[in-house]
Amino acid sequence: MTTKQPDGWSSKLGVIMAVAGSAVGLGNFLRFPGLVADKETGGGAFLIAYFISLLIVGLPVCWIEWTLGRFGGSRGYNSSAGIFHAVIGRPWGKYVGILGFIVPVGVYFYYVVIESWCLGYAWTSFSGGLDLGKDAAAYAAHFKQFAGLGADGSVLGLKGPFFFFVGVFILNYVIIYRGLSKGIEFICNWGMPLLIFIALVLLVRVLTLGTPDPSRPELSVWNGLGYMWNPDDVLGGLAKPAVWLKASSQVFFTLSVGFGVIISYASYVKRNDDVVLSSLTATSANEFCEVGLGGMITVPAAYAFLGASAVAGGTFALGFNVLPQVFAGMPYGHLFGGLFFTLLFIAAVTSSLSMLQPGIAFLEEGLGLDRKGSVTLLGLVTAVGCTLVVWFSEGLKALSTVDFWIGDVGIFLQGTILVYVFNLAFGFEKGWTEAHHGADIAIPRFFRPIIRWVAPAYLTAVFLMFMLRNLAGWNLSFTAPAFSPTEPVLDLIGGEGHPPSGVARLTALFLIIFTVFTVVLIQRAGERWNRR
Amino acid sequence: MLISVGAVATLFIWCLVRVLSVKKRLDHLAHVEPVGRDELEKR
Repeated sequence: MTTKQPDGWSSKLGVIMAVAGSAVGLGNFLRFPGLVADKETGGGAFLIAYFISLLIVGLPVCWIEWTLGRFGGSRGYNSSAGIFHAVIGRPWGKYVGILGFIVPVGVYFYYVVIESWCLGYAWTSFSGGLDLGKDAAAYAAHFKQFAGLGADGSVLGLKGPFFFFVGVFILNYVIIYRGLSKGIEFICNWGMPLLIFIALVLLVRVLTLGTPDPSRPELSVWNGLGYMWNPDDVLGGLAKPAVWLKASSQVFFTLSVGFGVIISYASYVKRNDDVVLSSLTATSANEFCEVGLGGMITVPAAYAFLGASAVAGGTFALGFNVLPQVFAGMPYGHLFGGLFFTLLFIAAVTSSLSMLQPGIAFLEEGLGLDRKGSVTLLGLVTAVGCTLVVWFSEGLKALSTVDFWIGDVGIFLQGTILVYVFNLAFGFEKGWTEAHHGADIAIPRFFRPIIRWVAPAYLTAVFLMFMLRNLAGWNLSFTAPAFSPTEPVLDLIGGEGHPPSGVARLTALFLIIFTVFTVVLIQRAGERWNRR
Repeated sequence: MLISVGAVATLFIWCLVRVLSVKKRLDHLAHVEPVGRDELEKR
């Protein structure tokens, strides 16, 4: 059974750039450094757990996604639901791929909002409007106003932030409308080298900062690097389940595995083209940006200017409160600050485009829509989701609710499903042979037991640990266990001193409606595919 | 730091060099006889 391929990559490097562009995002430059710098669960123990997770989960799941994607593409399917329909070959198979639509589209609801913050901050920084002096509270107040943290609906009353959001939203759809090679590949081919160039410029700037305040010699960039990278109690750290959970979560998020993006991108790869080396190259490009660039820029710079306390506030605080203050303190700070937020914007736009493509592919092949129709329908769906996130901006409640249920739970679930489908439904031996078809390099044989046994067991254990941590509220301590559900769960069910949140409940209801809507679409798509 | 950064940078550069230098033997992949341009024109 074959159907026409609606679009395709124009070169092998193009698909690698697109996958790397999807993987390199805000997490590389903000989340990863924050996790390594965390004194409780970071340091050398985190890095060892991170690299082990990369080896036994990250790389294998990447190879699995690329292999299943190319296989599905050769059968004429480019969406996760279609690919699972082809791989599993049962009537229920297509529903297994539901998360390949829900996760990328759901994450897009809030990711494009953060993307617009990056563009807004780049613009403000270049124009000198982000130099707010030495008062940390001024930067926090600026971000609070810009993102509408103070009150629901306040962003719509601000011309600047709302303008940036609408502009970025439209920009994504203009690019995606141009198609795979003329849109996504074109942007990634220019964007990724530019991103690496900007990151290298910033890296040189940070490494030559020395001691910005001679009266405080302990605050130097070298001490900042030491604070972040020096291993402390490695063995003690590795004994903590929280370290492994954070490390494997970061590997998942940073590689975009379980997003439904790689499987869709790989479906456009030609039947005889390599997937093993391409996958490894995209993964190593992401790791270079994360460990080699992201890990060397943000935290050391923040430490050199403001000390250890500045890097402990979380991803958004580090990116939008601390770093503008850091850039304001250095010569030509508006220029370097503008470059940094431009870098974040490029990283974000190459990722957000990848979140739209699986949805476009599904609507085209499932409902028979043309590009214009699929872009319009997906545009309407995401406009509703984004409006929810933008409107209910107080305390970022809607954003964090979608992030937890889609961006955390959904990705873990989809990654685990992928490994089991590859090993059980597709068949390990068939999958191993399929991966090596047209391969430029061979997967080392020690990955056979890893893909077959270790990755499924490890993923299952991590997923259970994640659920125990967040739903049951286990503090991940064996010596002094305590159980208290985390905030996203308490927001829905309420708890002692924590009334349920109306916004969180409304957001959850919207996500349920969105899921039901997707099930109906998949059912309609299945009827169409059965008629082929 | 040097080990981590060095390892990922080396792997990235090695992969990039391999991707840019690989020339695929289509006859070998598809298990068919190599077909030259003159042969194609005859057919």
